[in-house]
Amino acid sequence: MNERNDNLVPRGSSAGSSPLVCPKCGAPVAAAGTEAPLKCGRCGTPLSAGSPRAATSPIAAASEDRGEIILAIDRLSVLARNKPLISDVSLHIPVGKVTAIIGPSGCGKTTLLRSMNRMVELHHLQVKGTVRYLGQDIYGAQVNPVLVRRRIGMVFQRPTVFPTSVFENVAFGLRLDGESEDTVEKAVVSSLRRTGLWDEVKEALDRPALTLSGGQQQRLCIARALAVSPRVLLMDEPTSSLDPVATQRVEDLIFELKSDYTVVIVTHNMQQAARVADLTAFMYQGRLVEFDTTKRVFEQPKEKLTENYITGRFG
Amino acid sequence: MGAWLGSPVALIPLLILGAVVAVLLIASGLKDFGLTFWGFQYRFVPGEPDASSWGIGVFLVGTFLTASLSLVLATALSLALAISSVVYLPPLPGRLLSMVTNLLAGIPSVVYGIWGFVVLAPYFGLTLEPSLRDVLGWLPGFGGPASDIGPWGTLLAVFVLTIMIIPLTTALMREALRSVPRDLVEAGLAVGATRWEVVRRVRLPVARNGLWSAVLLGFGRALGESVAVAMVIGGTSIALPPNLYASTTTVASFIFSQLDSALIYPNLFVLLVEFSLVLLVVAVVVNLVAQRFTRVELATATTLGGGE
Repeated sequence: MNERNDNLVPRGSSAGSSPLVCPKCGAPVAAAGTEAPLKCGRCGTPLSAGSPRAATSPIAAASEDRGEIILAIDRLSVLARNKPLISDVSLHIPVGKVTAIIGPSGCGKTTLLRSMNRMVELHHLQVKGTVRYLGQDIYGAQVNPVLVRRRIGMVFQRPTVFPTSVFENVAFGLRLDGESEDTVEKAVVSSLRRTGLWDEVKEALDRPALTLSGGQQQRLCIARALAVSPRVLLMDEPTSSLDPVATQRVEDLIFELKSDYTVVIVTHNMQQAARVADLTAFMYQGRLVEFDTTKRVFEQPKEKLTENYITGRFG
Repeated sequence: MGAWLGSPVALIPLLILGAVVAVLLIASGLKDFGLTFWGFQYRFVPGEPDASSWGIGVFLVGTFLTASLSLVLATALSLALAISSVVYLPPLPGRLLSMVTNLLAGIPSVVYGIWGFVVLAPYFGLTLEPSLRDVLGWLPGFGGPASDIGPWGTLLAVFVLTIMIIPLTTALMREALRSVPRDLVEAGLAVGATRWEVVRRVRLPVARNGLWSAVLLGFGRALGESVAVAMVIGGTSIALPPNLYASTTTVASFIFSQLDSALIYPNLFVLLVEFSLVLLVVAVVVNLVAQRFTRVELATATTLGGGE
């Protein structure tokens, strides 16, 4: 596996020597070693908690203390030709948890997800506000979107396998780094094992990936995302094109992944959110209405809107 | 409404193709497809075309030489144009570039011909060919003396042809690159690929069949172009040109340039008709192969959706 380097500014960039700075005591956080620490070594402040001056709207964090925040979204608006798709959303996503984003069609949940790894930029959308990954604004001028997407991976609605072999699909991201054949092979095998696909495809690594079933293709896409060692995995309705059995397998996988990854999943299927998510955010008409533990959102929502949606009165 | 248009109208292209072949076969009388017809012999008796004889080999060499070379140039340029308008340029300049490229397709070939004859030819003879000879003279085809008849020759024809087929190949390549599912492009970016890496590792492989089809259709176009080529190629029937500066002839430009004599000399007339039959067969084969690629493309596109 390649080492995780959480520095989002390209090496050799002038301001990029130490962008990880503790927001409280200002001590530079060395990115030495394989993984950057999640806490400041000097004062113990979680690196991600956001600088104190950032104005945060009230529902940014879930009600209970969820530990370290890996992705801090503050006052985020995304506009298409000055028309807001999402407005003033603040959401702090804790590390090592599954966070679901639910809401009716067109509520902006996919836009919110795609703003977390700068995919929104591909559609010439305008982004206001901040999204911080371990304290670094991913929209910062020096930040390289390619590095952002290495740390914050994504899985799409439909399986997006490339028309190459099973092996090469998983190896795709590693090949970009020019990793040695040995490293690539180890990473591919371990990613395939992680997604439970290994036993199904180990004899068929050279077969075209398009010959796999839809469920297998989707898990292959997850394996491909995991192969470049992200910390966060964004999933945009990952089971919407799958049958119930394949859906079940992907949900099981999501549950297993949270020991090593932070998962953010967009789903239109409330039962799915209830099954897999620790935390749930409910969005409506481009705004974040409620964000809390899944249990609270489903059993005792604070907002009337949430309750109406959960109980199926609209959506 | 319009249902009556169905089957009878569908037959029209077939009828046209059949009629063209039949009329050409009748006109040629099928009398000359012997060994000498397919050979490379070249005997020209001035003032007596009926006593002269030409094997089609000479012309096929010129045809495939000019068409292949211009195709190599056009493929490289079209690919660059298509990639930049689909991937790199913002929407507005991208559309503008496409529009201008398409516009080039609408210029009549005789205009390209006269441009090549008047503007390009002197530049080739005085500047480009001498410098090519200096720099690349050690490469086969780039050394050796200039043609006796002046700057008109293979290289000039190749350049004019390249410019003429670029609009077609660019438009087709653009479509091929656009038809790559957006999901796949984003999936590539989501694993941390740069835009260029996505072009190289996702877009080009996925669009491969469409791109091949574009290249082949461009080849078909280049093979059949007559007017502009006839104006700049010089038109001497040398069996094997010693270098790229030498004048050659293509099947199509020979037919075009000899038509006036053919009205007087019946044997030449038959020869030209037979040449055009050969050209027709070559063009049909190239197009069939191109269509085969397009079909594969469609099949891949439908499989890409996945599903159980």
